[in-house]
Amino acid sequence: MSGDLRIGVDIGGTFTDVVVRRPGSPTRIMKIPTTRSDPSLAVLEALQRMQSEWGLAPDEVARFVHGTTVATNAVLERKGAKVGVIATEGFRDVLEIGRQMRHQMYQLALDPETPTFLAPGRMRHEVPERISATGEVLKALDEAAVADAADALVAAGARAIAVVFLFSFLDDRHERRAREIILTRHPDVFVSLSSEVDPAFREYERTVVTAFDAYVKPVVDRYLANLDSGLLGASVSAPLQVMQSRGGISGSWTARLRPVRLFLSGPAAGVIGAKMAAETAGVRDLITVDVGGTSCDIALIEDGTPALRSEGLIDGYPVRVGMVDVNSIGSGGGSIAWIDVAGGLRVGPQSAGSEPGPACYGRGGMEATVTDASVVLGYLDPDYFAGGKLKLRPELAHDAVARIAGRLNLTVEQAALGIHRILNAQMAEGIRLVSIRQGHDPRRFTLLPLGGGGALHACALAEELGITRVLVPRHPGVLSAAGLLAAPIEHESSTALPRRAEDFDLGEVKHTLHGLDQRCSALMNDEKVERGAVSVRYFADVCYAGQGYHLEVPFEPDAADPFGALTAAFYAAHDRTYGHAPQAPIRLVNLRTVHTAVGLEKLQEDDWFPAAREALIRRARILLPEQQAPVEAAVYDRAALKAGDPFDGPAIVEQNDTTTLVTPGWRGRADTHGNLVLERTSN
Amino acid sequence: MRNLDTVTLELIKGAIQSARVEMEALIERSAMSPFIREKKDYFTAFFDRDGRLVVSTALPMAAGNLIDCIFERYPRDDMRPGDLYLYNDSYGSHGAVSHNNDMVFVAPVFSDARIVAFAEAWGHLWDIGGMVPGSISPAATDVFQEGIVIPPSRVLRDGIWNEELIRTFVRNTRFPDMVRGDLSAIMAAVRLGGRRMEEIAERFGAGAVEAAFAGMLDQSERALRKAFAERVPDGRYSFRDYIDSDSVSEKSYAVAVTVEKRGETIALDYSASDDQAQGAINFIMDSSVPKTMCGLYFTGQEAGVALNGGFHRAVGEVKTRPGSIVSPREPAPLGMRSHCLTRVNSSLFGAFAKATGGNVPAASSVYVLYYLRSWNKERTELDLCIEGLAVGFGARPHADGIDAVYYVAQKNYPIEFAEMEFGVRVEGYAMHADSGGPGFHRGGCGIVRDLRVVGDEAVIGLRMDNMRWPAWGVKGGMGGGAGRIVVNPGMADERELRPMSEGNKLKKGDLVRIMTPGGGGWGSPLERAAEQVRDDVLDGFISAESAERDYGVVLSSDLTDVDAAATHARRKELARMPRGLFHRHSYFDDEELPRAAE
Repeated sequence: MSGDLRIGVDIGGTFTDVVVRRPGSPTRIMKIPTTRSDPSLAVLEALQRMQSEWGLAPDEVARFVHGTTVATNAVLERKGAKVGVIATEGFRDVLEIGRQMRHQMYQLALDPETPTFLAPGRMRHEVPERISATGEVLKALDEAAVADAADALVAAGARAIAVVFLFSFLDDRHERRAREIILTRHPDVFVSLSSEVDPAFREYERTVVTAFDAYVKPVVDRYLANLDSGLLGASVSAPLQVMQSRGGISGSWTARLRPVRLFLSGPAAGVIGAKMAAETAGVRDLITVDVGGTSCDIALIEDGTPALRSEGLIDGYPVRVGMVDVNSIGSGGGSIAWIDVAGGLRVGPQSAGSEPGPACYGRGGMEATVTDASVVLGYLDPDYFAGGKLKLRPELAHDAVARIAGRLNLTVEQAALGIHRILNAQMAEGIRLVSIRQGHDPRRFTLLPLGGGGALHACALAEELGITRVLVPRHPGVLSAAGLLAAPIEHESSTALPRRAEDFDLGEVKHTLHGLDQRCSALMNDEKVERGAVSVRYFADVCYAGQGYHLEVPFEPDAADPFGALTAAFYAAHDRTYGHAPQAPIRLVNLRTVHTAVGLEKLQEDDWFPAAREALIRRARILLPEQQAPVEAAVYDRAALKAGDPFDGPAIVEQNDTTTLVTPGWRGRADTHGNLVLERTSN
Repeated sequence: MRNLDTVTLELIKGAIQSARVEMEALIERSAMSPFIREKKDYFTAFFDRDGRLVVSTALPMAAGNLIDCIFERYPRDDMRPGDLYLYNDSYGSHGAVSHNNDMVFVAPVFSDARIVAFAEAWGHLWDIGGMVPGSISPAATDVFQEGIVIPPSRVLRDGIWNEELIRTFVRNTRFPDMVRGDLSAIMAAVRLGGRRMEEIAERFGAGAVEAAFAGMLDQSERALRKAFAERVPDGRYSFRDYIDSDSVSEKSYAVAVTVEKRGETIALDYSASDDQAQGAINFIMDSSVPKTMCGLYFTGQEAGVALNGGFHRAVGEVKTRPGSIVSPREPAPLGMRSHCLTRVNSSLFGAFAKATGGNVPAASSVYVLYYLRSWNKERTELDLCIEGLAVGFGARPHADGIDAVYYVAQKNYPIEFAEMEFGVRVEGYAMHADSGGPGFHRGGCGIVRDLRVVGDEAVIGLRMDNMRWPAWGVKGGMGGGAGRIVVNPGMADERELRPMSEGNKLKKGDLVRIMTPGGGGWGSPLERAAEQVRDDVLDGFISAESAERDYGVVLSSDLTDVDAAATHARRKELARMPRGLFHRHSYFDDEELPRAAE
């Protein structure tokens, strides 16, 4: 194999995006409709078209990186495996009872907050065994009971078994032995151990994440195995790599072992892609806003590093697994405007999706959506939506918005502006959540819209938050696929080490970290990454003694006073995050090591060669907030914008995957990499 | 600025709601005590400049008049930017807080030298002194046994703290570090809320914000009045429900209400309730409490309606009788006022059941608490474990009751947290089968928690109601199952503990099994689908015996199949039994008379 092609494939709900790079050649992009029945079919189709349309042979592929929604969809569509749970005697109902908490006590349709669909009572068994809070074995594992439980669960149809024993994060021997027993009797069953999936205290949270791991494991395994063999059959010999929720990639084999780490595979790729695009413009502090049809994903990147969180949500359930801190809210172009019982105008989270879609699609949608409002306001050219592939019907948009307006005693234009203002306020709130509430001042950041809908709202969002710079990357629609190629290979391993400050022991900590390092090194080794290419970082989860939430802070075991530095770092993080930091004793909770192989490839955005045609296409009349009458806006062709030539808002910039609205008080220009940079010129 | 456009109103509303949630997040994440952090026993709110509630945590137990008692001592015109006020004085605040562990902080929010709003938060403090660690005791007979009281006071002015007041307060707790940490978290939250509200006033203009407050109150008032007009027929409806005991005697206490519905409003009269109790189940019922209960139930499922002073305006007079259990005179103890509060709620909805032919949720049980204090041999180290346990909620006209929930909205301790922090070992945590009242919609189940004493000696205090008077079922649904507390079940020395008791001595190795009560059922259990009943049996919510006895569903011996013929016959037989509107032990249609202690 002598190839040097690098392929990133991001499978979204509607389109499968493919980005192909070869050093020294322009980036190529392909969009193929997603094949929902078997998403790997679209991937294989892409390979065929690469060859037939561009003459690129599969055996030239050196890297093949994939972002997948297969784990997420298995949960959202309830298409995971039938799962059994084996728990410590007395505790089979932990999954059912949860935290005995209901957030919304007065909702008419109130479902349990615990994901009992993963394994109802009859699919949860108990076995005698017990580890104490200090890690001693109080009761030995009853092996015959494990065998009986496994037999019963398999007889009841379980394809995967989650084993969750109390305090297994302090001593995992019982869980490991249970797996041996299960696999000896039922070698085809998938087993997830809580001490491997999430070795940290709080049994409910650990049970949930372990059960989710088991639930998606057979699905992810089959999917990645199919894709692997499909690639091999198509003569791609490069190993399949998969984006994980934390924003690092790993070999597909590792991903199949721990599929619960894939829930944010797609959004993480978007964040990495945004970071990469921003770096071409020299920007390292940015807030990304990915606006699609039904939702908006928001993330923050500081000094080139995406913010991470140690627990996220999947379909509303808490999943304690590290992931890029993407705040997903139900606001998108298809979000429906409606009037609540108090007479207030609301937007979303219900969405018209792509079927029937906004009223202006003319596919039978009757309700006013954000996109319809955009058409009424003149922001979207009905003849040039999605590059002209879909002709919009402005009269239907007008009628739909008029129905809302009538009930509110507003004009159609006022209602359309109202829909935009409410949507923008929701997205701004979402941005405050990842910025101000985490101690970051958004005004220091550049706003980077991606997805099809972000650029229409970017100036309004920036103004609401005091942000003065917006960066619209060249291909905001395929940034996720591009991000796959820029992501580092990463392996992370953590373990619980609950210690009070007076019991800190550097020798013990180093010994523990060494064990974690060995696990990660083995994984790197499997992926044929050279030791010298790997950088190692350590982190500790720390809280105040008696406190239940922890913060992740960097830990340097070889510093002069490692625990002193850890304490200081924790106080600083606590003060930034929560606004106060008493000088009280701290407590160690978990240790983590992160191995990253960077510098595999420094991706350079291609130089910008504008199309040789007039950039100004036409002038349009648009409606803007705070303005009584329509104003005239210049409409530019993105592909023809010359680097450096400035233009002032109000203006609209069109390209086939997005539309940028430049409002008054903003000045835009293309940079030498083709990014569209918008800057605030007045207050 | 009175007539704010609808879009701006929604924008301001969204910003205020989000600022309030941010206050909550700060408290929860930075508080020190497990009560606040894990149990979420706190409340955040914004009030308008006249002290009317605008938005708050959806807690029906919390009063909506938290600012008035501060105005009594500190006139609004005398307040300055940066001021901070606090109190935990139930009697001195006329029930703004209803037991003294709840510490309130309030900050006025200024815009251009004028007060536009108040930011407020309270949290339940772990210990404020008093007769026992944790300060609340089933043995209390006097509010002064329940800890130190701070009347409405100013704690910060012009950047200067009233440090003596805080020092004095903290000197009176057994857990000074934890209490200081919690005070600091609640204070930080209130000041954060104040800053956020200032920013909102700056962004939209103070006039717009005040108009938005008025608009939000109007929205909530209109929504509730509309619901009354459409859903409750005019008339007078009375109901009474009972608290098992006050723990210092065996007497049951009635909470009685008459609802008078006319047009689009109602008036409530609680004056027929029993006299105040000697034990700590008295509840200083602020009039906003039952009003909020009505608002949350009748409009709670509607997006856009905030819990606020609009509800308080939609309901007319709330009459109480001084010296009664819902309007006690000082120094009646208050620590366990939730027992009374729950009956304030269930009597109110009993009355609404009579008005609507049973189209209300069945009654729910009161949460359960235990206070386990264990010592080492030398009695030099004390471990205090206070844990709230979930119960079952009443079934609803449209769905089953919620299983295993702590009313309202408080988390349990993870077992792995409890064992690392407290001197206790948990040996079981399961659904309490058959505790949910049978019905077309089943009542929610309580739970079973098994505790092993690991300290050399220990004493346990218990608070559990709904033993003599379990949660009633409605419209043919049956009452919820009662709770029980047993030491060393199945052993030679097995014994029951009184559900409301203090000072129960335990020795090392004892196992305490706490089984909590369930919620009432809704609709006839004979109409519940037989397959659904079978699934409940397989999943551990009801026993095969109850399936046959109460639901008329007969299962095969391995429980996996419904015996259709036997089920048909059994259901036909059960259908002959007359059913009433309510059920608790037996069916009844009107009011139950008090029963002698069993």
